[in-house]
Order: sequence, then C-alpha cells, then structure tokens
Amino acid sequence: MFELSHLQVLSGVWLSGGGAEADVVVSSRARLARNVAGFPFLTRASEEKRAAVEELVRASIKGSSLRGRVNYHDLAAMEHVERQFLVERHLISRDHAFAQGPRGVAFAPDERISIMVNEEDHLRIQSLRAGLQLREAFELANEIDDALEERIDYAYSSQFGYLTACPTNLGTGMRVSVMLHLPALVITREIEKVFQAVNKINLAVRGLYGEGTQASGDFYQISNQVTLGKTEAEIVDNLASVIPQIVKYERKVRQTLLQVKRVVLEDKIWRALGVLRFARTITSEETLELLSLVRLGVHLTVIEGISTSTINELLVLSQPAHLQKVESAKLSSHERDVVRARYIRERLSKDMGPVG
Amino acid sequence: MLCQNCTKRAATVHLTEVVSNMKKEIHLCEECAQAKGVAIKTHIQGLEIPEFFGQLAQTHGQTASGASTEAQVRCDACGLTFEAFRNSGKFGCPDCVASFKKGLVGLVERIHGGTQHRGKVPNRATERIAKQKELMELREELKRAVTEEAYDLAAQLRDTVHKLESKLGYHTDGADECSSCLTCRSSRAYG
Repeated sequence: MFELSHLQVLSGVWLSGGGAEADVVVSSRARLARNVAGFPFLTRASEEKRAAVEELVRASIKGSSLRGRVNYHDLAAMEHVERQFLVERHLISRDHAFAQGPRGVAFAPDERISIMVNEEDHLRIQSLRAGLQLREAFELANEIDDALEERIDYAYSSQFGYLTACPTNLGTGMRVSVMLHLPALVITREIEKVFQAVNKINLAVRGLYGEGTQASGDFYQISNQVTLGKTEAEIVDNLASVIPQIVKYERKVRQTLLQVKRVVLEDKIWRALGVLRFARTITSEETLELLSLVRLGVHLTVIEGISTSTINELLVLSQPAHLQKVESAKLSSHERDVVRARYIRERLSKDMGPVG
Repeated sequence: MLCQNCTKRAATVHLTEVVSNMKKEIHLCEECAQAKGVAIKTHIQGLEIPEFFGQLAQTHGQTASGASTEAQVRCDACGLTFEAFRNSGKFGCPDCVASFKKGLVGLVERIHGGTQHRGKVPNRATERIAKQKELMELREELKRAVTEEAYDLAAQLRDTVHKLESKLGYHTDGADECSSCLTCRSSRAYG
C-alpha cells in the first residue's frame, strides 16, 4: 500500500482556519491548465502517448527546481482508497482519481501545491491557500508554472493562448476559485440572489468538490468562467472584488438572524454540537450539515472552545477514505458511520474537554 | 418530466427564478425554451458542454450546406473533424485550434467574450518570437549581401541563418538541407 500516512494527521495548511475573512472564506485556489506541445490531448491519445506524456512530465518535475519541494505519486499504481483519500484532500479531482491509464500527481507536503498529470489536460497546476488569498494562490501557481516551463514545451498560440483540451479553458488556462461557507444565506434563502448576481458577471458556482458536484453543507465554490481575452491579474481582481461583497452579505444576515431569531438559531447550533458530541453512528452527509452549523456557532461566538481549524480538520478527516486510513482497514458503510461518530466525539473532546 | 409549456416533449431546460422572494422552478423542453427566448447564458450551468455547443450551433446556425462543409473540416495532426469536436466539446490535439480556426473564432467569442489572448506568454514563446524576428532580419541582410555580391559575408550569414532555423526546428529530421526550406534552396542557387 502506498505510503501516505504522514497525511493522516497533518492537515494541509489551507485547512488551518487562517487567512483573511476566514469566518466565511474557507480557502482560495488557483489552477492552470497546460499541455505539452507535440502530443495529442488525452481523448485522442493512445496508451503509449499517454505513457510518454506522463513520463516526460514526471521527469520534468523531478529535473526542475521543484525537485525536493514536491513528491510524485503514480495514481495508476495506487489503490482506490488512496486515490479517494487524495480527492477528499482536494489534491486531485474526482475525475482524475477514477480515470484509467497512466497518470499521476505531485504535491508538496504542506499541500499548498499540487500538479495533476494527465487529468483532462496534460498538466493541471493548482495552489490552495487558507482564507481569502487569491493573489497569493495565483502567484504560487504561476511560480510553479515558470519552473516547469523551463523543462516543458507548452502548447501555445499567440491568439488562443495556452491550448487546452476544452475550449472553455483556452487563453490563460486559469481557474481561480474561493470556497465559501454561507449558512446564513442558505437558511434565509438569500443565496439565490447571490447565485443570480454572480452568474450575471460570468462567475460560476459549484459544490464542495468542484466541477459536476452538488453544493452540500452550505459550502460553495465560486470561480471565473472566462479564461481568454483577459489577463490573469484581471481575472483574479474580478473575482477578488466580488468576494468581499458576498462576505459582507453573509455576515449581515448572520447578525440579523442572531437579532431576530437568536433562540432558534442558538438552538440549532447547540443541537448540532450535541449530536456531534454524543452520536454513536453518523453519516458523512449529516456530519457535513452539523459541522456547518457548529462552524457558524464558532464564528458567532455562540460556541467557545473549538477552533476553526478543528472544524476544517473534521470536515476532511471524517470522510470515508480518511476514516479507513485512520483505522487501517476497509470498512463497510455502517462501520464507517460508527468509526466516524467515535472519531468526531474524541476530536471534539480534545478541544472542549470530556463530556458528562 | 414533461415540458410545462407544450406538455408534449420532455423538459430538458430547468430554470429557477426568484420572483419577489419566491423561488419558482420552470421546466421546459428545448424548443419551448428557445421559443420563449430563454437566454442560453442563464442556463449554461445546467447543460453539459456538448449540449451547450450543440445549442450554439443551432441558435447561431449557418446555412445547412455551409455548416456541413465546415463540419467536415479535419485536423491535419490528429484527424478529428470539426463536427466531432462540436459533439464532444473537446479538442483532439493542440493543432485542432489552427485547423478549426474558421469555425472556432465565433464559438470562442461566445464562451469568453473575446478572441485574443492577453494573458501570460511562456518565456520560451517570447524567446521563440525574438528568434523569429532575428531570423527575419538575418534573411534581409543575406539578401542584401547577395545583391551586393559580397559572397563571403553571404556565406557566413547563410550558415548563421541555417543554424538559427535548425534551432527553431525548421530543418526536420536533422537533415542538412531540406527541399522546402528557402535558405537551403537559395544556398544551392548560389552555391
């Protein structure tokens, strides 16, 4: 089995709960799509060509200045649960985890950088930061791109920019996104207004795990749609200028809820914490829903004694592959629910002291 | 689910509207959605990319004959046809962009609102552009040297040009001379 054990306990720095506007903005992400000149994209690439791309990119990463900063992992040789683990960690996409053929990922131990090889494009460079740090996320991804470009000839055209498998990524090949926690806007159904406003300015809303996933537990990802015709700085600025308004809106509604329906809201929050601290079996959906409420409670100082990083950690570590890694065993869905409930109880007791 | 408008065809366009704080869901078939002038942009997110392209081709359809010849355009490098690209929404290789340029520009504009990349340029590309510029200047000098019958200089320049061209990958297969290359041909001419 692959050695990913160091990741079990150490959470990525992006989960630290730090960064600007951390009460609403969980994390910021930038990703760049790149392809190697002279090779077909994956949909038209033979097994040999895919292997050649994988080998070339792997060698380029290892030969570049990134050597020592990132570790390369062969996904084709990895077990299902290990790949699921990396998805839960946001280090690879779902599509990348469950695709076929030669492919890999290189990432830094602090999980701020990951480079997916042979995803939809030959390379997907991504950088994750805690809180609202879009510019920092972009700069880091850009730096990785510069380092790789010294070794790899990218497919590029002066008119269409970086050439990508999907026309929606042409140009900069860049997608920047922020993960927002918007429980108050969801409770009051104001969220629809945000979606409409955001769509009007060409931004997309997605779920917790990116493209093609449902938003769950009040967590939403907002990202740019346009990648061509604007500079990277303009794209980053456009998204960065909208987020503070959404943050302000969410905070305002949180305060209104506290004023108008304090008891109802506090009751919801304390019940959520109660279930998490006492449940003997719990599904991941319920966990996400309850952790969202507890997170809200922490930021409204309704609940004290739990840090944001604990909640972020629980969000990631309570997921199926993580639980199986912690237990070092393959678990049935019912067994997972039992282990999850125990893990959450123990983790919360660490912060808040034992119950009863 | 049936279309709420015609109640005949299956509803494939699902819209959520918020009217005076009331969420209202509307389910329409494609025909009725188009007839009602539902802007594509408002439901792009619910559509799969191929559907999206299909719709664009319909709404912005060229004349039937024009469209079919364009659909048959094939990428020299990977063999993908424009039609297959439109159905899948995915290019086959980096050369598809150049092969499909005619049909692509409009599509790119509808997706991105622009057709000219303004972002990052790979350093290597900058280098290449600079080399190409240098090459053009050297070729001019070479031409001048030949006109002025300064053959020693011309021979030197020819070698420099040839080296630079090799660097840029113009002389394929490592051959010293190639039939398609101007420098090789002209060097033979005064040779």
